[in-house]
Amino acid sequence: MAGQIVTITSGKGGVGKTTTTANIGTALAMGGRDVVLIDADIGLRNLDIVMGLENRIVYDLVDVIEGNCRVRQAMIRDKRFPNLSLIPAAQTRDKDAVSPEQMVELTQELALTHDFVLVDSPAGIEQGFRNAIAGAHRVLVVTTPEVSAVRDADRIIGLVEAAEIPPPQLIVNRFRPEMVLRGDMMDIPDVEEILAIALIGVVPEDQSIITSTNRGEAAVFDTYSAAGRAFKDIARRLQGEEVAFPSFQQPPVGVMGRLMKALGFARV
Amino acid sequence: MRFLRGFGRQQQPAPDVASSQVAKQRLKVVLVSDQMRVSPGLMAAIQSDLIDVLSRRLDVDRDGIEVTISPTQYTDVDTLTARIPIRRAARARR
Repeated sequence: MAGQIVTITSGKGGVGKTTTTANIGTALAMGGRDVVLIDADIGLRNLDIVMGLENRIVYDLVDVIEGNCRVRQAMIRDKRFPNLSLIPAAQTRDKDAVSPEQMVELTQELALTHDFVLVDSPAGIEQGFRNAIAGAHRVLVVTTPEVSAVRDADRIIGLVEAAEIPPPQLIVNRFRPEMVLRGDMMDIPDVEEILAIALIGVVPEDQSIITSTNRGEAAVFDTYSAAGRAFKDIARRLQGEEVAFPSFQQPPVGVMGRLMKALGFARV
Repeated sequence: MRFLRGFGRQQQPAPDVASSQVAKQRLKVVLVSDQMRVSPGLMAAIQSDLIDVLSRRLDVDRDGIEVTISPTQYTDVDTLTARIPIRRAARARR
């Protein structure tokens, strides 16, 4: 049976598509799945540096499409997992170097030999986005609980639905429970209500994302990383497991925290 | 057990280097190759070959190396410039 082709997209830039792709891909590989990641952001390659594989690039996605190399030659094997590999984007070409039909062909070919083909989409709604969703069985839309990101996510959801792909699923990234408690950030049900698609993950804001990315490591290796745990949960849900959504509301810590709460001061 | 977290990392740099500095170093390397339109794999290979050759004679600071290829003024050729810090100058090895 062919594997799943999953595209990670968002509309707005900077909401965490690439981090999400790297971490879900790594989590799936940690669980023994055969995974290939495709960076579809031609001209603005980044999945390689997030994965710590930037020095191993010889061939890229456009080389594969144009037949300059075999698919296998462009697949960079992960540092830790032989069952995880990356096809990097070309850095010096344009999005129109690849067509949606070519992406369909490539992703379907890869799905024959892998359990998961994860496609990291560029921001925007133009050719690069259309290429990225072309072969997808399933689309994950990443947003943050901010008005601009949610608005763009809504636009993307409309375009995915028009493309006759099953309804996309939602990842809310950079969630800050303490702001929600103060009433300063939209809560998950608020975002769900607006976008009206199924939720597949909530990833809390987490500084360890920056430090792990600095080193080119995935956060899912870091057992202390709350975001890493959330990405692992998403990977399990992608495989059909029922995983409860943890509550991010932290109870007040220690005597002072309890006292403050008893006195009516919410911990912020 | 946080102190054990770096264990098993085979990739340079050592885990005790601040991650911000690792990020800066990685970016320097990758930006050079982006600007030169030479693949990072090739750049890394050139850098490593240079270090290997020089290390036979000198105590080279591997982390401080910077290799760039840039256009030369008034000519149409690109020049490779290597800045390779030496820890103990001219400490010749046999």
